[in-house]
Parts: sequence; C-alpha cells; structure tokens
Amino acid sequence: MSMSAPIRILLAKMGLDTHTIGVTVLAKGLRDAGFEVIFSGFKQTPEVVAASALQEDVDVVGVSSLSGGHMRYMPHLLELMREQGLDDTLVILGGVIPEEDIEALADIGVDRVFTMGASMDDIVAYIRRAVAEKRGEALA
Amino acid sequence: MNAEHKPAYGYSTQLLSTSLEAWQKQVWQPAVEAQPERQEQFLTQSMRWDIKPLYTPLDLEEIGFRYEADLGFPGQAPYTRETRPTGYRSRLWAMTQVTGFGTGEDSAKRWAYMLEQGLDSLIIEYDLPTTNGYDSDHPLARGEVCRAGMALDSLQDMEDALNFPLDKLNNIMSVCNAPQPVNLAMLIAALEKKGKALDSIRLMMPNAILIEYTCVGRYIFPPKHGLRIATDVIEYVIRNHPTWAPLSVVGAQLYAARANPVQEIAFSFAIAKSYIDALLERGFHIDEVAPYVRHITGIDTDFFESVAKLRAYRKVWGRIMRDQYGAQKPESLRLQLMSSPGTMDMTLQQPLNNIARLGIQMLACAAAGGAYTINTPLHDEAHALPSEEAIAIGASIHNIVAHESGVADTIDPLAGSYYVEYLTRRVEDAVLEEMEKIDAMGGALKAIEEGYFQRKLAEQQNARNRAIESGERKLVGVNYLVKPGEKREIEIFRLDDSAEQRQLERLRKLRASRDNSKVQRHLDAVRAACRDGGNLVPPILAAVKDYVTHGELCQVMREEFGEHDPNALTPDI
Amino acid sequence: MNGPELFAALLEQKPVAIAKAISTAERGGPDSEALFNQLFGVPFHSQVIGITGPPGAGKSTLVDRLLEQARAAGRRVGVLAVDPSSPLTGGSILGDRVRMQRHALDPGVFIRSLSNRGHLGGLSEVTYQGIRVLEAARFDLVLVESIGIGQNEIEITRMVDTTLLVTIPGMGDYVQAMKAGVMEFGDVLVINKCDLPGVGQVEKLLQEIAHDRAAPGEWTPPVVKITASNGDGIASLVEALDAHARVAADHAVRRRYERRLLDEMLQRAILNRYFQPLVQSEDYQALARQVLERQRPLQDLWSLL
Repeated sequence: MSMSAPIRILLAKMGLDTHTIGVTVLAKGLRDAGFEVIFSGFKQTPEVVAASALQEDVDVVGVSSLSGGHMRYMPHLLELMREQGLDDTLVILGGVIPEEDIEALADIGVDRVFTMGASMDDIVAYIRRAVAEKRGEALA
Repeated sequence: MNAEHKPAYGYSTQLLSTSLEAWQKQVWQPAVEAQPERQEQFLTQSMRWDIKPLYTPLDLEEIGFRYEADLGFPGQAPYTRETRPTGYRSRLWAMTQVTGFGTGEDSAKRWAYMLEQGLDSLIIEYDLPTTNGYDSDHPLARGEVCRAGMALDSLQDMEDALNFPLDKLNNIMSVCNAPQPVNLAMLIAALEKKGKALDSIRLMMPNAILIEYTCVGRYIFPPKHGLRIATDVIEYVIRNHPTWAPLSVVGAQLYAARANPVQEIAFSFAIAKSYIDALLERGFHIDEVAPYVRHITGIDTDFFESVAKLRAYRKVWGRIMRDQYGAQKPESLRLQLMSSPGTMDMTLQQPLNNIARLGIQMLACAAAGGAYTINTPLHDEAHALPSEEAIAIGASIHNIVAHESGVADTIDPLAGSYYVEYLTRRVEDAVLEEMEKIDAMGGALKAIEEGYFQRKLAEQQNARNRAIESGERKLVGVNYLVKPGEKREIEIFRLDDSAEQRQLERLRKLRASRDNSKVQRHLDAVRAACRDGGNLVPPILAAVKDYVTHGELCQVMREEFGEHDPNALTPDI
Repeated sequence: MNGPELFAALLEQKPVAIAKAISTAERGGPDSEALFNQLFGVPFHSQVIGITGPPGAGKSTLVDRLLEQARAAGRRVGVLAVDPSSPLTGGSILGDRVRMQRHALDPGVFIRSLSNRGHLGGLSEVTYQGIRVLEAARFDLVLVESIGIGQNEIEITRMVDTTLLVTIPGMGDYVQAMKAGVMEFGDVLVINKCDLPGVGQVEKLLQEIAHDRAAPGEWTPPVVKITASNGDGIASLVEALDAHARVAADHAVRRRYERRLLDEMLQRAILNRYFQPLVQSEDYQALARQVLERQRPLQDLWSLL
C-alpha cells in the first residue's frame, strides 16, 4: 500500500439525469484502485455537491453527465467551490461531452474531461498523477 | 443410446457418435494442431457461453429435441417458429423511429418530414422535467427543458405538436412512464380537438414504470403506487379504447443497462406478470388482459445469440400464458414483440461501423422473425440526437434487409440448425430457472423493492466493463483494430437554446390566460381519486381539458403517494 | 492553516476547519499528534451516540431521521459515517452520506465519511479524534454510525455516551450471537423496518438479552420499534435516547476510554523511551547472546534494569 494518504473522491450526478451505469462502474473501479469513494447521490444541485466536497475534504470531485446538461451546472459548481475556498480540489467531468465544450469547461476550471470510452486505467492514472502533483509528492 | 432408435432426421445416434469421434481424432485434431484456433475460447457475446467448433444432431439428442414439441408450426404452440402463421411473407414489420424534441412546434415540423419519408408511426419522447413530473418553470427543470425530448406542460403543447396532417399517421408511441395518466389524457384531449377519431389511430404507451425502478430511473412515486397508476391507465384503455396498446414491457431498457438475454427475458416476464396480476385483481380475465401486453427487446451484434433469444422469447411467453394463467386465446399466447436494434454496442469510435452492426442486427431480427415492429436505430446515436442523414440510412437498412437479403421470404429459415436449436433451448431453460427464482422472492415488485434487479444489473455492468477493458470481449474500433489518433467528434444535437425560453414564455402566457378558478376543483378531484382508489384517468382527463398543467397534476400525486428517492435504491456496490 | 490557526478556526465552528482537522487526524503523523494534544483539553460538551448494527439494518436512514428530530429541536449535529475498506486494495465506497444528503446544506449539520483504510487498529483512533473535533466545534449532538461486526466496531461503542444497536426482523442469528455473549453492548436496542414480518421474534430475543444484562438499579436497555423509512416510532426512540443521556450525563464510559488511552500512551512512551534503546544497545545484545549460549544464567539479564 502506498505511504501517502488514500485519495478521496466525491462522485456526483447533477440535474435530472439518473443513469446509474456510469457511476456504478466508476465507483467500483476507483475503489479497486485504492481510492475512498464518497457518493454524493443522484439529482444533486451544485450547492449540495460543493458543500459535500468541503465537508468530506476530498482530493477530487468527479461529475458524471450523460444527458447533456453539463454546461448549465458545471460553471455554477466551480463558482461555488471557489467561493468556499476549494480551489485546490480537482474537478473532473465524464460522460457525453462534445469536443467544442472542452475548452469552455477548461476555462471555467474543470481540470479534465473524460469522454465516453475513456478507460478506467486512464482515469485512475490521471487522478493519481494529478493528486500527487497537487500534494507535492512523488508518485508512489 | 438405443441403436435402433431413428430420430426424425434419420441418423442412428450410435453410428453418428462414432463417426464424430473418428472425425475429431483423425481430421480435426491434426488440422487444429497444424493451424491452431484463433482464440483459446469462443464465447457468445452476452451470455459468455462456450461455443463448440461444431454442432451436430447429437447436440439435439442431448437436449431431447423433438420437432413438434420444440418447434411446431407458425402461429401455433409452442410458437418457436413464429407467432403469426404467415410470418413476414404477408406483412413486413412496421418501421418506427424515435423523435420528439424541443417545443411542440419543433416536434411537429420533424414529424411532418418523417411522414413524408414514408414512415407511418412516430415515437414521442419527452424532456427530463416532463418525465420527472415537473413543469418547465420548476427550479429543477432549469437547463433541461426541451433537451432529451419534447416539453409537455399542458394540453396546449400537445395541440401544437399534433399540428400537421394527421391522416397519414397510423400509430403514435408516447414514452412517458411515470406521469402516464397525465400524458394519456393530453393525447386524448389533443386528438379530439384536432378532430382525429380516436379509433382511427393506434396509441401505444410503454407505460413501463416498473422497469424504471431497476435502471435509468425515470420514476416519481414509490414502486407500489407506480404500479397502481400504471394499472389505472391500462384498465382505462382496455375499457374505453380497446384498439390501443397501454403496456409495453421495455426489456430493451434492461438490455441497455447490460442485462444479458436471459435476464432481459426473465425480468421482463416477471414484471409483465406483476401488471397482469394487478389487472386480474380488478376483475379482468386473463384473455382480456394478456393480448395487451407487448414487449420491446434489445438486439446486439451476436447474430446467433440474438436469433436464439428472439425464438426463446416467444416460446417461453406462450408457455407461461398457457401453463401459469390458463390463457386460451391465440392473442394471449402469441408474444407481441418490438425489436430495438442498436440498443448496445453502438460505438462512438468509427461511427460508420455502426451501420454494419445495425445491418447484422436487423438481419437477425428478420431471420428470427416474431417482431411486429422494428425500431430504426441510428448509427450516430452514441453521440448525437437524430440527424436527417442518419434517419435516411436507418430507413435504408430496413429496406435492404427486407427486399434484398431474402431472410424475410420464408418463415423461420434458421430452424433446424443444430446450433440455433441448441442455443434456443439453452436460453429457454435458463430463463425458466431465473423466473422461478424471482417467483420465490415473491414476484417482480418484491424483487424491485429489495434491489435484486438493480444488483444483478450492477454486476453485469462491472463485468462487461472489465471484459471490454481487458480485451476479452472485442469491440472493433474500441479495443480491437483501433485507429490511432482518431478524432472523435461528439455533437450533442445543438438544440436551439431559445427553445427553453420559448417554452417558458408559452407556459407563462397559459397560466395567465386560462380559467384559474377551475384549477383547484380539478386538483381536488384528482386527490380524491388518489385516496379512494378510483381510476385516476377520468379526473385527470377533465383537468387537462381545462389546461391544468402536467406539473400541477403530478404535484398532487406526489403529495398523496410520496416521492421515491433515487438514492434509496443505490445498489450496495 | 497551521496547527494553532486550525484549532482556533475549529473553535469558531468554521466548516472548512472541521473538515481539515478530521483529515489531519486521518493522516496521522506529527500534525495529528499536535492536534490530539490540543483537542484533549476540550471538555465534554456533546452528547455522543454510536449507532451500530449489521449491514442492511437501515442505520443511515435512521441517522437521517435523528438529524431531522435534532434540528427541529434546534440542536447542532455532527455525523461520522464509518465504513470498512477493502483489505486488499485499501479502497472503499462510502455510501452512508447519500441517505442523509437532504441535510447537506444545513449549517447546523456536518457530515463526514470515514474509512478504516485497512488499518486494523487505526479506525477507532481516527474515530475518537473525529468525535473530539466535532466536540471542539461545539456540536450539541455527535452521531457515529458504523457497521457492528468485528473488534473495531466494538471499540467504537467504548468511546461514546450511548450505544444504539439496530436490528431488523429476520435477524435471529445475529441476535442469537449477541445473546451468546459475543457482544455486550447496546444501551438502546432498536428494531427497524417494523413493517416487515417477524418483529415479535426479534423483540422477544432482545428483551431477554436486555434483561440478562441489567443488574438491579442499573439501566435496562429498552427495546424500541421503529420504521425509519416513514418515521414511525422515532419520537419514542428520541425519548429513550434522552433518558439514557441523563443516566450517562457523567460521561463515565468516555472517561474510562480516555483513561485507557492515557495508559496506552504511557505504555507507548515507555516503549519508545526505554525499551527500544535498551533492546538495541550493545550491552543487551552481548548479554542476550551469552544467556542464550548458556554461558550466563537467565537472571543476569535483569542487571540491565
């Protein structure tokens, strides 16, 4: 087991999209990679996600978006997180995200977008690398 | 095995067995040593069942296959060869397509175009606020209005949507699930206003609420109330519009959630039984009810597995109706099936490949027979809402399969194939076993409340993901024969962002211009029906005609029945 | 934020400080030790309730209801939801929070999910620290939810004022195991999901246990029937909890735990300060060798002390 503290990640689904497959598979995959996965729930508002991220002091917030509503709630979420001093928390977004939105998302502060077909290995590797960098640690 | 026994196909089992062994030792073994097989194991795509190099009459012997008992003839028990006596030779399957988005006006334009293209049936889907029981001006609706489908706040929207020549339209399928009685009422009221005789059009509503609790999650109320509401709709339609179709068990949705063929059939049938039992409790006879149960199945690219699945589907249905319910009418015993190719395996990468996949899937549907309607899938569905080109290609696939391939020109052409019959029986046996398990739990409603289906689906999702990531299961373009550096373009069919604004404006005007004094009376009547168990459709229909909104009606039901919390059904992962 | 700043912000009830303080405790190390020392000075403000029981008993839903009640009474509540992690990967899915999320925006509520991270002994230490953090932030009520199997979870019952044991009908085996003396805790015995059949059976078993355990004049654990999903029986449960709170007003159980902690800390200090240097010293190495070779008698070892 790595000497560094385990990576804590909050998984959230916002809006009215209740597809469960993505988060189910993701949660298990991240757990198998040794992360602590906190599930925020379905039909969450950005306010709830930001508050949960603060209380849980997570390293990463992961949002799953399958019905195209990401451009509405992601800016709001990032704004709330900034207001609450969560600038250091990584924010990743996965799901059905068109190429042309990726730049706009980066501009508002999303650290990484994973489109459909991203592999679990890629996601895990990215999170490990990014968190290690943030903590100023060498990768285990 | 008795050497004198001569099965219908004229071989002596003993002799054949010896010959097969000889072939295996003397011909196959050396050949496979000289040129090894491509894989260590060959497995069917979904069930992951082992596939042998060769199937022979001996495999049929093993399962005790008998022509009359296992196959029979089209239109008769056991229905394995076809539910209708003439198959596709008299009538091809109906071709349908999903549409419906934006405001009612936007939908009307698209539908007019499609009817011009020669389609005679429409499928209407609604946006997330609508399927979740909210009006477009509800806080939770913000940003979702008009996106996943059409926004339906009031009768006015339905009137706008049906604002095109309705004479060519024969069938409408309306997919609204949780607030189905409201949706039904709006359709009835709108059609009446347009002067379309209600018996000249066939309205089909999946009304498939129980499946929503297991996957996708477009439900509002707790499961047992969801069932009551759905039953009210079915009862109302049977008594008032007997030519309509008020129930489709959408197995395709289970399949999309990664259920395998056995699970799709078993869970679907268990769910169908819940509806049937609820109706029987209201005094219906099985033969009055069973003909109304339709099924929608998902199809993927494993050709033989799909064929076997379709044949087993109708064989098992016939058995259950006859043996468990004592149904007698052919309409009760003959499975009514819509096939939905493209439910799975449509890849984001190299989307044009999907056209090939859809061709194979459509071919499987046509060869296996039994589907009265086949949904037209679109090759760019993984990443876009329907474009006009995709619609046209989809229609062509139908026509090429129907008119160039020949598979629809005789009934059940794959019958007698040793592999197909073996596989069909295997699916059938596994389905019956799974259904026994669910019955032992107390039926589908209980299984849903205990999270059984959800757990099984979660297991399947994880397993499939692992199999694809490890490469054990090949998906061309995804983990096999991948084009490096392929630029993957996703387009969310960019909806005119003004759609939401336009919808809100319409709603605002409606609230201002309708007779608001009548609203409360209607809501009280609905509330009373919720409490005293009366059928919800009549008071809702009256309310809808006076422009009470969809959200207002759902809110009353929420207050009476409670809301079902999606987080309560999170499977313990 | 450095140590003193963090502690000050904690006393001011700042949510981000509460979160960081708990994380510090989870990480261990010198920062955590420093925090531990500071926290030790905080008096017992809070009523601390441990909620334990097997998986599937509906503990999270029950906690959600208790939150509702406490908030209605104007009490501030902190929640620690503890879940085990995989011994293989060290990872975990912490799914209790999901059922309490309607309180996520309530400034009078703080919810934190914890996992034992594969450390066998580590869980209870972190949980203890977590309780103390919440106490420093002056929450009136602290709820600690954990799964009631294994030694870890029993540890937790020793660091709270009141232990609530949650079972459901049909859990005969679990309750029988309790009866056999495997688990001796439970100040209030709850039967949840009383809409299911088999309530009477579990009730009888629990009452027998309660009766066996109580000495005359001592607290007899009441058996309370509830259905957390619709709120039935919650009012009676709150009454029972309040009654026990009066009995436990002296925080005797927690004081005992802290005494044990001090003893353990002393033991550890002695080990580090005296044992380690001695056992590594050349004198000991040489002497031990000679004793083992039978060149010197065993008793000569004690000359080192």
